[in-house]
Amino acid sequence: MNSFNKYLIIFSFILFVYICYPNLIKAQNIDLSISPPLVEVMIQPGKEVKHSFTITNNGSPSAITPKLFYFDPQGDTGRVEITNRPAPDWIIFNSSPFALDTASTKSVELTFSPPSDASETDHLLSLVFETTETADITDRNVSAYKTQIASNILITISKDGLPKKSASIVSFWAPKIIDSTFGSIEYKLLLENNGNFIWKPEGKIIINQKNQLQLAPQNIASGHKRAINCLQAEEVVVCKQEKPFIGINRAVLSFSPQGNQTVYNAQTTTLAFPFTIVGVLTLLLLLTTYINKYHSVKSR
Amino acid sequence: MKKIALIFVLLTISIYVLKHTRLSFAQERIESNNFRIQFPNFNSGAGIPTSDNYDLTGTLGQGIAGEYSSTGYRVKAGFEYIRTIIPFSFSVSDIQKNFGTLSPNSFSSTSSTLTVSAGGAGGYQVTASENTPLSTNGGVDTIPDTTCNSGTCTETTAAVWNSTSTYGFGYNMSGDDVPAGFSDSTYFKQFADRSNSEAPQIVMSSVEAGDERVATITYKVNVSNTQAAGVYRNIIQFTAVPAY
Repeated sequence: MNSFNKYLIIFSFILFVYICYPNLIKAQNIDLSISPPLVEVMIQPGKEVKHSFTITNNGSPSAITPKLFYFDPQGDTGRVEITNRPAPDWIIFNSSPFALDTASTKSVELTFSPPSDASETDHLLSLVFETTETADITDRNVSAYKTQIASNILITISKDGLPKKSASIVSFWAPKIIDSTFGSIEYKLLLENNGNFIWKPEGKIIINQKNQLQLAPQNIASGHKRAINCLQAEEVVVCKQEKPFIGINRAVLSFSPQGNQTVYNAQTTTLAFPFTIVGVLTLLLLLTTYINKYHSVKSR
Repeated sequence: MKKIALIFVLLTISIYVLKHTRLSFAQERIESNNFRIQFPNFNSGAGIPTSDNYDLTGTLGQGIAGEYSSTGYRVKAGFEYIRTIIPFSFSVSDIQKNFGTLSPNSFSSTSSTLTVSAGGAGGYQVTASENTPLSTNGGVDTIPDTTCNSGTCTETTAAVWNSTSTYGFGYNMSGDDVPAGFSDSTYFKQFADRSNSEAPQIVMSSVEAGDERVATITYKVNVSNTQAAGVYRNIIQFTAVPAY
């Protein structure tokens, strides 16, 4: 057998093993995904609803334990700090650890059944799936990993499905002057939920009564603020007016907490002027004038 | 022999193609230019996009007060502004880090890769903490958390650590969505120590949805001549959670 055939056979064997048994070659790793990443539940006291979450393991086989804790909103960007406070006992799920092999999924069902005398309030929770760190049986200096991946659950207990919502506009800001040659107008919006229940804004920023920027329906927890972005197709984007009109650009914000009739308004104005173009043209004009004067003086 | 080898290669490639080809779209999305429906989301109200003329946000089949009164609940799964539910994913390239044999006044460094996909969320964060500093069995001896060259780095503040006469255990972050304090590869922090009630610290975060956001965490250990011999271990906990 010549060398070429030998190498071809070895390569083919390696390729075969890699394709058919990829886990033999991959290093051990942690690779988890959870779906859905967010669930919002509104429920009457005394009623019951179930919902399933799916955990997928694309890494090494792992022992996984589901846990449920309250979270506290942090800052104004929707960040979550998972606490040690356990979830209320009217949320039932199987919290026993389970083994999850590579490329496997498991559904965990939660049953929400607040008692009939449960008070109307929000419960902000994170469903956490936690791996167990590997036991090292050899004498090595190691840091072992334990990983948690979470999904957030927003529960509102409401008797009539119409919890009272209250909002305030902390700030609606845009630059006062911009150079319209290159610039765009970026709008920054900070809203506060000063009511007792979580809500998301529904509304728009309308610029010069023509262009519309749709607000992203991002949740704001009771007693917290959130910087609200805009929505373009399915993407959350910065609220921005590209190519503003030369002159005064008047932006009117108008929104309501979802499901609420009260409309909140604010407005701001921005002067857009092509400073750069005007500056360059002025400079050219002055230069031309100077050159002409110089030539006429010289020719005398 | 050459023929046999070539047949073997072709067979292998065929198996690969068959393995990765989806023959049935029964559970897949149905979509056109104007709409997209994914069956697993249909009854859960994954959210419907809005248009200039009307707003279709709300749960499917349960959006009116009358239905709420009769069923007693309303459930929305996923983010309202995204038609399909996109899972939230987090991966770490290893299950543990081995620092090898620790020699006095000599850094031992090793890295892992963290990857986050938060395509369905308006942001995410990953925090890290340690259960204890690196310790021998029973916590008899400890490698303390580093305070860096100037003694100023903590679990919240990064500082330069490149002096081999400064001892301890710390980490550096680089790549996507890492905290600003890690100015370059010489900046390190301690891990938040949960045995000391220190709050886990953010190692990756973003306010935007993102796919395959990748960061590298680099660990560094340095011990003095007086460090007791032994096997030192701890547990690093990563917590990945999307924005709400």
